Amino acid sequence: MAQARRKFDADFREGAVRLVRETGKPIAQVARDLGINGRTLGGWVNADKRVRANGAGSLDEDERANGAGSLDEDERANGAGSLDEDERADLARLRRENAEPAIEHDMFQRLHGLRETSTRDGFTGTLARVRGISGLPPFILTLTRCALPLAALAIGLLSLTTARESAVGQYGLIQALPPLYFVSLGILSISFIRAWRSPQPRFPELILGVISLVVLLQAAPGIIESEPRFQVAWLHAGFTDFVARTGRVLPRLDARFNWPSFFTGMAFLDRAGGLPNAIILIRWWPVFINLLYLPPLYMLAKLVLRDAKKAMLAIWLFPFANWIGQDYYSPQSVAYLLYLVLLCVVLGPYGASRKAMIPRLRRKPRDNDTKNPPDDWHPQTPAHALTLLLVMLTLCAAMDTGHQLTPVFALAVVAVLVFFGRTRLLAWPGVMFLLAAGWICYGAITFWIGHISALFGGLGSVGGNYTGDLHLQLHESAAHHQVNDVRLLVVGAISGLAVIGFFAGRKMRVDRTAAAVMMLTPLVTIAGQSYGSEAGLRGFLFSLPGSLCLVAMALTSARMGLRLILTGALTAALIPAFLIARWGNEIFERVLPGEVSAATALYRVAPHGSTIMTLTLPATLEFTDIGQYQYQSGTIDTSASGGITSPARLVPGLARQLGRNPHGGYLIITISQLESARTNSGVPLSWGADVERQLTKSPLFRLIYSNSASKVYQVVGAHDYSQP
Amino acid sequence: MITASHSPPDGEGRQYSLRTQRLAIGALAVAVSAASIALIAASAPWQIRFPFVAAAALFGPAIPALRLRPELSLSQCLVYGVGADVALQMLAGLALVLWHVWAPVAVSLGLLVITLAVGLKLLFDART
Repeated sequence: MAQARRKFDADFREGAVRLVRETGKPIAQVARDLGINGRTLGGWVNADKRVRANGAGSLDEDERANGAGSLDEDERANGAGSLDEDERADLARLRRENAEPAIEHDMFQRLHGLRETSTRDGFTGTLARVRGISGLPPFILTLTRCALPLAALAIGLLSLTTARESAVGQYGLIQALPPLYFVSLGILSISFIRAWRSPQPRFPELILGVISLVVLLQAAPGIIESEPRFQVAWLHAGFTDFVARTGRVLPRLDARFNWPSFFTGMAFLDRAGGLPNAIILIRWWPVFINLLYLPPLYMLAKLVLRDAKKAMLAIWLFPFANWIGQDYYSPQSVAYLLYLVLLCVVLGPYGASRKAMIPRLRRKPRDNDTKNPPDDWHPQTPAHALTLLLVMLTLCAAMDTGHQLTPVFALAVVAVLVFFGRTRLLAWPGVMFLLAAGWICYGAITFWIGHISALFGGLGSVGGNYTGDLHLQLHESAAHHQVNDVRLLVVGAISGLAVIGFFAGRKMRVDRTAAAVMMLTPLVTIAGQSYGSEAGLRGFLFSLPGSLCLVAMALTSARMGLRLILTGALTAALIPAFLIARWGNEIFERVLPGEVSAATALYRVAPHGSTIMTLTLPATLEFTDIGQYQYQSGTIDTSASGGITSPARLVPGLARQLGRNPHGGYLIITISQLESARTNSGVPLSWGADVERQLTKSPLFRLIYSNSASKVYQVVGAHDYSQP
Repeated sequence: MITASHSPPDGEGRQYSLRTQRLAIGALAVAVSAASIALIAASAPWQIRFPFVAAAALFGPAIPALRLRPELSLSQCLVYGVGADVALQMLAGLALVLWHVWAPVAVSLGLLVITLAVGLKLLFDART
């Protein structure tokens, strides 16, 4: 966007040059901090160098063109025009020396985002004076500005304490959220956009805004729901406790134990910290891990967008766009953090060599090419390079041993970045491959042998791999169908804006190739792998860093006014969209206190070795005594010609299955299971009630525990069924 | 034509900034690691002990160790450091499991001592 040419006085110019000279910061960064053009500042720095080299000197044509020319006007205004060349140089030097304390003070203020307090910058200065804030000290002014996001955070958190868990319905958590919560999100968004539109970066306010957003969005279920959410998180807590207690893993029990470093790491930490069990961690884990994502995401966005404000916009959108929900207590959540940090190294110190691997993709560097990081970003000494190598090896080793899928995405993205010349680590994909393959051949051999079809079965089933986890089934409820529609809309909006951003970024000083690679490579990579029908979701998660950078390009390519409207509109649309997309399955993904009580009671009575069966998934089980029981999950067949299996036929079948185990068999039915069956398979809730009635009537089962959320039955006459 | 390249950093300003960072990171590393060691040694209740140990695990030893390298910027130290520290915890636990030597408290104490030592080195470097 074309900006009106501004004039800067000698004090300001000198202060800016000193900032570059004394802090060692890049010219571009100082220019951004001060809200001025990088070339203008570069001109001043060059002029200063010449003045210093020659003692003093007049400014040449270029320097005047770059904004330095106003010095002459100032001097003329001060009557210096009648002096000869040497006298003018001396006068300029003396004036600079006398002005130093004032310049330092001025620059100090500007560095703290107080450009408005200066009287030198037309519009913003006038605005600040009109608002009467120019007299405030920097610290107080920063605090004043941060009051709005802090107030929004406080209001939002307080409002959540008034929400009723029982109001969670078919559209999920959004039905339980109080209106004040939406007001707080609105205030937060206005506060962020207000700070973001300021010509001077107001980073404390922006950072606080993003942190508050993450806390408000991710803490909602933790505050509203009685028990930590998501059954799989409970299972992972059980795995962690098993490792913490025994110092062993059980690779034959569960595929996740073949990539156990998340569980071993958490068990290691739990023991050192004296934690009685890992369930304590799972309620606030999403808040914690999402906050940890922000620094590497910001660094990555800044590397791609080359601008701190654009990068802030990208990470502001991340909490909204990340509806996938893989940030619960899981190996994926930590592996994603490692993935982001690895990309920061790959694109940072080793970024942008511009040597595409095939000649026709090579682009001749232009003289004014500023897309590439300055040379001093690259490792300067062998010790520096070794330090970075150790960091990358540690990250990759933890990733390879901690999660099945993340190394695949990481390897693919780094390889394509190498291919397009965005990183100088030409051999690193090979190293990553060897590390991943090494672990598969050594640590994950149990899984490898037994799951060849699972690993390669998805090849060729591209459509199925993308849509498998969206539960687009014929029998799903209308509400669930709408929740899935919202999810698809979010994916479509982000992807559409990213495409626009890619083309809009042509004339920007950004690395849109790197962004496009980070966005597209994960989406292409998962085409060949079903990964338990979650491939599409994972692909979208891994594509987010790149796609959000492209979205930021799209939004910032518009004029300032339109840019603000678009950002505001997108935020306003994403608030409800996120709440539905992310927490839309809460009716069965939450964990009810009654379900935990039932499972605890079951583990108290069931002897080790017995079978525990659930009517259908999900089930809050296996959070204790890992490896001591056999688990089975029933499936509800809705495709049979006769419709859903009738309870009268189902119950004897369940008894037969459970009765085969001489140690005994138990069936647990919970509200979450029945809600899941209704939502995903269209099974009416009355069917669950019929099954329970049939179980109560049947002589094959005995009700041993019951509460409002769960019922536990024990199969009787097990020895009869165990006979051949 | 001016590009976005850096001007040579002024030695004095950069040194001052590096000293301040070393002082802050060193002090923090020493504080959290010393507190964690003391709490583990005293077998303090997990409500007090775990937050300190978790903070120390997240902060060290990689962040203070990376700050020993003058070439890295503060943001690089923090971002790479957090990633490396998390990875280190995972790998330390894995190594103990694979070698059938499940002594997490002892090894954790070892990592905390390393963090303490690196923190002290940073403080010493910042003073000189």
